[in-house]
Amino acid sequence: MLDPKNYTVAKSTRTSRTALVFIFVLVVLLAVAPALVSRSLLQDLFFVLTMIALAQCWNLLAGYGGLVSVGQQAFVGLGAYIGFAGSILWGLNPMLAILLAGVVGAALSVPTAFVVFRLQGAYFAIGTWVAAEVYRLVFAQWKALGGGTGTSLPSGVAKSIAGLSWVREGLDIKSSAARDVISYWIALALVVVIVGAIYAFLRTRSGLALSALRDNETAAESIGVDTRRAKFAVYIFAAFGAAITGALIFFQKASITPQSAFSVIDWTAFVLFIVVIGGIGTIEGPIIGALILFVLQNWFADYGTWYLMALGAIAIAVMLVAPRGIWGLVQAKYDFSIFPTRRRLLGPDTPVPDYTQPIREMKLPPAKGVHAADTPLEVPTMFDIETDVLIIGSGPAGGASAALLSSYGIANIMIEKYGWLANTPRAHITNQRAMEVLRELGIEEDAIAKSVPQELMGNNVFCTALAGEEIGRLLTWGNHPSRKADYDLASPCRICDIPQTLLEPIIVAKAMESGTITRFKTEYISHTQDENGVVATVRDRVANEIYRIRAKYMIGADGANSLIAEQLGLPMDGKMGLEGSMNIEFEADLSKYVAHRPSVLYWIFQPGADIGGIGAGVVRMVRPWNKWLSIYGFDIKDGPPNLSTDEAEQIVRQLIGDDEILIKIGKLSYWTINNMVARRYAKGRVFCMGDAVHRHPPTNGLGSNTSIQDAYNLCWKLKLVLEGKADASLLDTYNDERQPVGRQIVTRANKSIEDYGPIFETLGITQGGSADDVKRRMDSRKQPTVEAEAKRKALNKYIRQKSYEFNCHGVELGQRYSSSAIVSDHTAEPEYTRDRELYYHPTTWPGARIPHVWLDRDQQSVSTLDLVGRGRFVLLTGVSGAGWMEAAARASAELDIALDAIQIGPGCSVNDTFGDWAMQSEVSDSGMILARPDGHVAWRSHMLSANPTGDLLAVMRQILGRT
Amino acid sequence: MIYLDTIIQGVLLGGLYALFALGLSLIFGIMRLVNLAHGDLMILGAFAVLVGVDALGLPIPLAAVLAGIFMFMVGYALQYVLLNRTLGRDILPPLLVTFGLSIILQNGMLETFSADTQRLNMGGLQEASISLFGGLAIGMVPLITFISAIVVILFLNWLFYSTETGRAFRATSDNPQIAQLMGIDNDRIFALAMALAMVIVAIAGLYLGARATFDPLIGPSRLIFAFEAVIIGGLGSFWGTLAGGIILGLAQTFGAQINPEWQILSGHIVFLIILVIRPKGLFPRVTG
Ligand SMILES: Cc1cc2nc3c(=O)[nH]c(=O)nc-3n(C[C@H](O)[C@H](O)[C@H](O)COP(=O)(O)OP(=O)(O)OC[C@H]3O[C@@H](n4cnc5c(N)ncnc54)[C@H](O)[C@@H]3O)c2cc1C
Repeated sequence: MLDPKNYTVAKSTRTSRTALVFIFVLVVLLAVAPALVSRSLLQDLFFVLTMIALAQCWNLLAGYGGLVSVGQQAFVGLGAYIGFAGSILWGLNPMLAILLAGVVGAALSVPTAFVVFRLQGAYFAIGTWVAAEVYRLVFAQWKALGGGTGTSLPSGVAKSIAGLSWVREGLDIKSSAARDVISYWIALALVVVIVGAIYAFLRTRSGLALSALRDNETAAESIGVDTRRAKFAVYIFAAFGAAITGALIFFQKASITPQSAFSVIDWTAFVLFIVVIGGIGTIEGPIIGALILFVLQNWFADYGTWYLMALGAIAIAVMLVAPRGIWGLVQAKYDFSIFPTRRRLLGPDTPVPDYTQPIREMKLPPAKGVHAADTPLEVPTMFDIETDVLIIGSGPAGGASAALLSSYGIANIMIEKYGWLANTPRAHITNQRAMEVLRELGIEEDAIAKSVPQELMGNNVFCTALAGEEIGRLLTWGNHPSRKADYDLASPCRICDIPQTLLEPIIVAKAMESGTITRFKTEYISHTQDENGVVATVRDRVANEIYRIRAKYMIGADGANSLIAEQLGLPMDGKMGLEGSMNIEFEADLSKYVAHRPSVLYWIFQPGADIGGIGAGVVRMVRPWNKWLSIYGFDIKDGPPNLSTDEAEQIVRQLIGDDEILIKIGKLSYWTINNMVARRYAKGRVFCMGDAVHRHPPTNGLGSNTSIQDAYNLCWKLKLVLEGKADASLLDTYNDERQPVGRQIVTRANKSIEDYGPIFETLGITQGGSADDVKRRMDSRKQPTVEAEAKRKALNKYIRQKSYEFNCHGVELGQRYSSSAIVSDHTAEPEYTRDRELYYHPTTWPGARIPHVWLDRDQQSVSTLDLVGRGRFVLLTGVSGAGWMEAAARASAELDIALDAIQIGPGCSVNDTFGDWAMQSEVSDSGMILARPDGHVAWRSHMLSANPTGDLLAVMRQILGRT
Repeated sequence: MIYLDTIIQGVLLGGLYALFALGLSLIFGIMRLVNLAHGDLMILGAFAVLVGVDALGLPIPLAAVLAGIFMFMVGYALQYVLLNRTLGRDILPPLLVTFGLSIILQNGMLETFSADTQRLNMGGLQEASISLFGGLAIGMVPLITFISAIVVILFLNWLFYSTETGRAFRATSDNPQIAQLMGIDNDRIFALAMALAMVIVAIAGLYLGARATFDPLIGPSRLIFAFEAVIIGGLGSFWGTLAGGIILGLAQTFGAQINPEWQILSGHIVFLIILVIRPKGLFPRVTG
């Protein structure tokens, strides 16, 4: 679907093609005008044309280049003076003198730029003015041209203009009238050339970058165009245009003074008003503006000062009320442009191939809750599309957020910098808690279909090479019989292995199917936020187009190099880039080494394998038993080694330990070991999640899993707040609940790396020496000596210790939250009877995830977890809980919120056939457990209270912040 | 001796330029706004004093105080009603709006006061001077102007670093969003800052009118001087602005010494040279 062949980039539009014909006719008509109209009208037309020329140049500078100059009079005056000097002093033909004026203007603009470009923004404006003043004062010293009082054009010079006699005879007019005609023609030609040149330039890559520039400098730079050079070029061109125009204007006036030639009012103030009133940043605007100024001038110029004051007031009003000027208003209403300078992406996504829409207002495919901005062209802090939640990044965190929000019916747009989802199989261990979220989304089966099941995951082999000696083995991921029951009892879902490359498409497909709008090849650049929302500036990397998305909330799921977390200035603890590591994907049939001891991970202990990386060399199964990934470390001080395919194969071969086997090396990627967690996850209306806020090594396989849980925690809160059912303060609990988890897993994952050290040391690999020395030390554990026995014991202990990485059930699903969205039942937290990291301790204590037990509904097994979730609160009570059922109905009505109540027990809609719920619910049959949409217990009551409705309402109000 | 005289004149002229520039520096520092109507407002200030003296027959000090109050209100209203709406990331709206304002002010004053050149009559003070050794003399008005500039700077520094208002100014200037969170009403703080800047502008207008003639159209050229003083001194430091004013004053008086026609030009050229060598000005505020 995202085949680039399906897209074309269109720059011209049908209306613009019609317009082109129209323009052509207009130009021809204007060209023959001297034969048709009076001399005074011709002079007026000359005035309009020269103003258009100046306005176009200034518009290019300010409207496109962001270079707001109030010193363009420098070049008008310069051109005028050089034109006069050329023809009077140096005897040039006026035509040549005009051209020379342009060249000198452009040449002098270079040193001028050198100085004024040192100033930015408003200071640049005044700097250009100072430069113009310098030129004025210098030219006032030019005694040969009359110094401060100026001079007039001798009539001989005026008559020497080329073609004068030809025009005079052809049109049968006086020579002064003939001079007007020629000036007029030159002005017309000038306007055509300037407009044409600007139009052509704006449609080039640099031109596009320039348009982007005013919005955002870094954005333009990220398109890969040197903005300084583009600005510089624009400045020179504008100087050239202004100087030629200036020379022409003063030839027509036939006299010059420094004051008039360098007048800030005539050559900058009027020009500015023309552009602003007409419409800045468009080619049409200055033309319209010049016509309007002309009309105003004709009608009101007699009113002198009042006229000028009114003009100033109009400009102010336009800037404040309709900053895009008259043409902007026209465009907003009729949605077309004569000179489309922006590119539009036409592809299968573009619903109606409506050739009249410039991309700035590109409407997205209609979807619920997404609407184009009402007045797209009027407000400067405008945006192009609007949604409720904008998600940046389509990794596990972003994808899960999109899928969950869409399943809750919340409008969202997800953007992703690249053209597709994960391209390397990074995360793979998908734990039960993550599977539970997929189960709620209805994609558990899809995921299982693509996964390697638990049974094939568990023979964690520690060896010297796949073909080498096996040092020890650990049954992992709940595959040891003593742990299998723990895992089976804890969840309706099985842990499994799905490479990120396969899981992401399942999640994102679900999201898009249920309403998410996903924009690939769209890069987040920056954002601003106010009390009502966030406006993000993003770049369509296909069309090279910048546009803005307004959302009520934004989710920053942009991974470990998160730009959003950085821009928000989220405080970070820890370090990035502690060790270097690389992934080498390869294909090889390794069945003979692994099929009898199936696993996802094979750990290789060789000299050198402990350097950098995640503690040891790894051969990781991607697909059994022919697709693999090797993880190998490098010394971060040396930087990524940039391996050739041969070198990569060398490493892989060494890890396998087989010189014969056929290996096909695939992608190579480098990454680093990080140990960093954000102290705060959110700021204002922007929430960061996933690797953006917790960055850690893949040990324990918690990254993607935790990212999905971040989403599961935040999304229902966003839903309730967006629906107006909860106060925005509920969103604060996202940070309160998830940040401690982030800290815990970052610490855990890094600790797991350290735990490899003792194994290497005990084996004697780290002590150095020749390969034989190492082998001898490793073999020493096989001796029947006391020392060797101690060594064997130690090794056994250290390998068992690795359960903290591979059977870390408590960390995987034992999270207990505490925040204002959890209401205490005033019981003490239940104690951990076993190791709290290794073992999951089910409880219904408020804050814990509701324990899983199998129940029976309509002759079918359902998990307690199947009863809860899906964006709503659920109250679980027992046979004697009718009071709670009623309380729930009342609270639901009173608060206008989805709050279901279910009785569990014999004779109820859900039966506790095995009696497991009775054993685990920790409340009596008249008690109740209130589950949040994320399955965590919000509150519980051991029995029916005196005032169930009142109590439930109070609790719900506290959770929702509706006090 | 003539050089010493030139130096003294230059330094004292610098005091006047510093007064021109302090208001500009203040509002740029707080709200990153460059007011292109600053020069015209200065002329408005001068006219306000003139009206007090000529039309109402008030003594100069009283007229000046009234002009200060008038300009305070003008500044507050201007910022609150108009300029606050232009603030933002885009530099075009404030520039254009103040440029439009400048045109309106110039023509409005032209309409009201005619194009005649005016001067504030300070009585005997204008001729008074203090004689120094070797026949040197310091004009009373230039001296008072210079002292006023120093007083204004002392006041501004006190205000900025020792008062609640100053704290609010600094907070909004560092980070308007955070300031808002601290409960500061940015719009009002900005209006207050502009009002304050306009009082300084009134003071500048007073001395501008007392030291030389003025007419409704000279505002823009005074704006340029003010701007040059700010940039030369480096943004964000009031003492730097004074130094910038003095350097500009010296450049102009020395230029005029060589050729009277070069007075303004040499000021501009020194400004451009400094811009090329030290784009951040000579005494930029150390950030951090
Ligand atoms: C070798 C390896 C093995 C791993 N194994 C496991 C495992 O077994 N189990 C596990 O749970 N985790 C594992 N992880 C970690 C897991 O890959 C990450 O934790 C997880 O991908 C984080 O998800 P995320 O959505 O936060 O970020 P990411 O997956 O990094 O997604 C971020 C997305 O945002 C996009 N993006 C970035 N900037 C922009 C921008 N400016 N504009 C638009 N889009 C942008 C990126 O292109 C990317 O698609 C492993 C990681 C590695 C490297």
